[in-house]
Amino acid sequence: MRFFQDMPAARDSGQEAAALSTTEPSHALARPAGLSLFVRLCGSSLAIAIAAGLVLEYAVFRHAYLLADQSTVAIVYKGARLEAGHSDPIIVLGQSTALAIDARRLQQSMGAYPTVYNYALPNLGSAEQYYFVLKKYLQFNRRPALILLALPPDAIVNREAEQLNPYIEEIERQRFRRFFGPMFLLTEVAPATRRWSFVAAAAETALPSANYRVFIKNSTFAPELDEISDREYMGLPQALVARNRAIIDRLDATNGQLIYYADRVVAWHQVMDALPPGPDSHSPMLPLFEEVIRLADASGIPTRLILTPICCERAAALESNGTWPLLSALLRSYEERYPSFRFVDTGFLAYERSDFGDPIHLNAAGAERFNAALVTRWPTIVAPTTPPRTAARRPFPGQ
Amino acid sequence: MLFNSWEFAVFGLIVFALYAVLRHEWQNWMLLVASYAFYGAWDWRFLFLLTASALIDYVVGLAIAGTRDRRRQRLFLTASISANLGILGFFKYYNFFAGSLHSLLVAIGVPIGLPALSLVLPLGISFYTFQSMSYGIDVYRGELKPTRNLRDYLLFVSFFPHLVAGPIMRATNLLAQVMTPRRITFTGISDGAFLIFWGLFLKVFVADNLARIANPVFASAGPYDGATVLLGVYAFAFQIYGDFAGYSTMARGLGKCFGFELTENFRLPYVSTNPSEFWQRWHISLSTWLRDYLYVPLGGNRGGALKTYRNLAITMLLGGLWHGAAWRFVVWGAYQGSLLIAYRATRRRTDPVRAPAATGTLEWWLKVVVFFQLVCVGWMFFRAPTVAQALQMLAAVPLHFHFAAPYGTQLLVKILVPLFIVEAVQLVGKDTLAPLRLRPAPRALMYVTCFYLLMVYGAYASKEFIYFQF
Repeated sequence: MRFFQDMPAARDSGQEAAALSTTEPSHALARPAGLSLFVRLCGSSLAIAIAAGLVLEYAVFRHAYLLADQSTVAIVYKGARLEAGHSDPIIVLGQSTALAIDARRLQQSMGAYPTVYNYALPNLGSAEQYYFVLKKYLQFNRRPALILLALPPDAIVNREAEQLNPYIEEIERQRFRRFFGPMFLLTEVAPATRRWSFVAAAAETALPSANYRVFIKNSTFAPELDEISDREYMGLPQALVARNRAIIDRLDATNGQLIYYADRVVAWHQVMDALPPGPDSHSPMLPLFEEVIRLADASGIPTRLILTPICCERAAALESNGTWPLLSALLRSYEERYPSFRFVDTGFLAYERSDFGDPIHLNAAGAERFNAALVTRWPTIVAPTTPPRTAARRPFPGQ
Repeated sequence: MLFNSWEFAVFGLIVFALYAVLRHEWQNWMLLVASYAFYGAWDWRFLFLLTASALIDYVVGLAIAGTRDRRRQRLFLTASISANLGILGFFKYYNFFAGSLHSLLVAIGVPIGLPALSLVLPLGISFYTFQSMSYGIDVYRGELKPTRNLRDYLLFVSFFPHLVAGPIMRATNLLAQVMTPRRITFTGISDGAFLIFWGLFLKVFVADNLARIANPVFASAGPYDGATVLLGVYAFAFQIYGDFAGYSTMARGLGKCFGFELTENFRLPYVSTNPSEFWQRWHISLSTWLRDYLYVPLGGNRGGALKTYRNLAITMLLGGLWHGAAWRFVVWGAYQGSLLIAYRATRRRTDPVRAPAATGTLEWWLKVVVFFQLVCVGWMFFRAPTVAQALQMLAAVPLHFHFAAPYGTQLLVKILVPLFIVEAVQLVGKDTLAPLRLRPAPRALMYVTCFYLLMVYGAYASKEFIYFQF
């Protein structure tokens, strides 16, 4: 078997044309020049390589998110579902704490219809995510009948220290581009934010092999020490794929629920180490948060805000650092400015430490408790009543 | 601006686009500006040093050509060499010699010494100084007519593909190419693109991934396990090869795209069967420079066996010191010199460098494997932070060897297998560009495999090339 082909001896460019003409098959000379060039290009190694690359990209590497961490799996799955255009009448938007919501259970509490889907995503960077998720949802789906914003109370006026951490920032940047995909980043996010780094992000996301390279490398080659990523060592790639398939099955079965920790209980010192910072009336989250409410209001979609549970030690910290009065006043002002927005006091905010797997995420027991409480209050949450605007409500327990 | 960075990709494309539309004179102006911008991107202050170093030899070249008095010519050449070595010595070796002198004086009871200076080593100083110096020597020897065209001369010294890490080009070769019109050809671009791709593969996939195996082994303070030391030194052997050959190959590829032919700096060095062959395959531009401007002027092999050994020892010792101002490089140079001397003393007179076909294949492989071990002993001194640590590590191989594959062995194999496959093609085809002569299907397979190894498994955090520090 011969691996090397016969090459013209002349590598010199001046002799190249002549050399090529002597090795050209005679039938090729009979073809028109353009066709001959086309046939040669199609048969060239570069063309074969590009064709093979495209097959690999879109048949193999497209599924490489199955080697990713839990958050990325949820993000990619929900991103694809959103683009499929299911047009759910009620959608839940929020961050990772809202992933505990079992939307299928809420849906079943009202009968089979309307469908409720939980589009909560692990933090994608900032409150910008809610705005863009809604924007993208409206691009691919019919206008929903109701948006349920589910956020922890410290996500709006308390500027988390971790938002300033470059490590977290990088992970969130990766999640952001993976959820929104190249076209949306290019056509919507970059022009709206005027941050042209999103053009580079779009390019990074365009090729699945590049998009998931850290995960592929971590699980099949060696841990990527140089690049920041959510890393979960799962042993063999097969085990990782099996785990992620199970996550997808659960997302399917619960309309978007993801519980990070099954029965793990967070240690007290971990909660105390992660207490929220004090409130800030100029928090950079505020204008971005308001953008979501404004967009929903402008689109004629009613929005309900509920607060997701927090560990009681965190609730006590928020109580003492003056978060509640500031947040309460802020929400009232939003209600006054945007008629379609309403804050719903669910009254079940502070949970025991035994309900949390880490300082902020509910474990399975906590999620069960939260969902049971939500089902009970669901009719109130979705009720199309206009709230009294003048009453000085005390939205938080203990106030 | 590293070759393996997006900034350089954009820079290269812009320079190439401009180059393609300009005429020869303006091409040279543009390349000169681009080369200065490339170098200035690291530290613009060193542009003055680069220019000064080049100007010295430009002026000396003209001065030598301007007189027929051999004594005056020698005087000019001495001034040039002194100035060049003075610059190099000051920036690169001052602290080393001051520190060594201080230690020596303390040892003999005289605790005085020269003050240490906080000097920043200018990037690529060893490369461009040697290149510039060779110009003056070639003019003195009458092998080259000096140019009056300052622009072309400065471009010869500072041409960005080879400026900071070689290959060290001779004026007889590169200056002539600078001065004559060049053509961008399809073959040049195709060969150049392959060399850039292959160089990137060597750097980003091979070298930077192997660094994660080698670095922890050499960073450890001991005690050492023999198997781990072997793993670390094998990893480093291919890391430094991938790193340096990667840079040189990319430089050569860039040159080809612009219509330049830069010297091939590496020719599958680890298939050498003896030290003499190794130095004909490893860092070829340095070894030939040392041969032509140091070994031969010292007398070469013309004065009998002992003088030849002396010349070899001096050449390799200085070659070692060229790599850096540290005793470990001196020891490495001495070790390489002793290998060459031992080989010269023991080789049969009729044993030239022989290809596998000329000897038995098994015998050839055996020699390659055995000689690779000897090369790796040298790398231990080269890479270990101190000579003492290198000796400890070396001792651990026979004395504390445990037959268990250390962590990282699998990774080493995963990295080396694709490298060996492509190099086997190059070995059989007797050319770095041999993969381009493969039939379309295996060539496409090679492209796809290497592309995805580079894309998915490459180490992309920006890492400087090892040879930048030299």
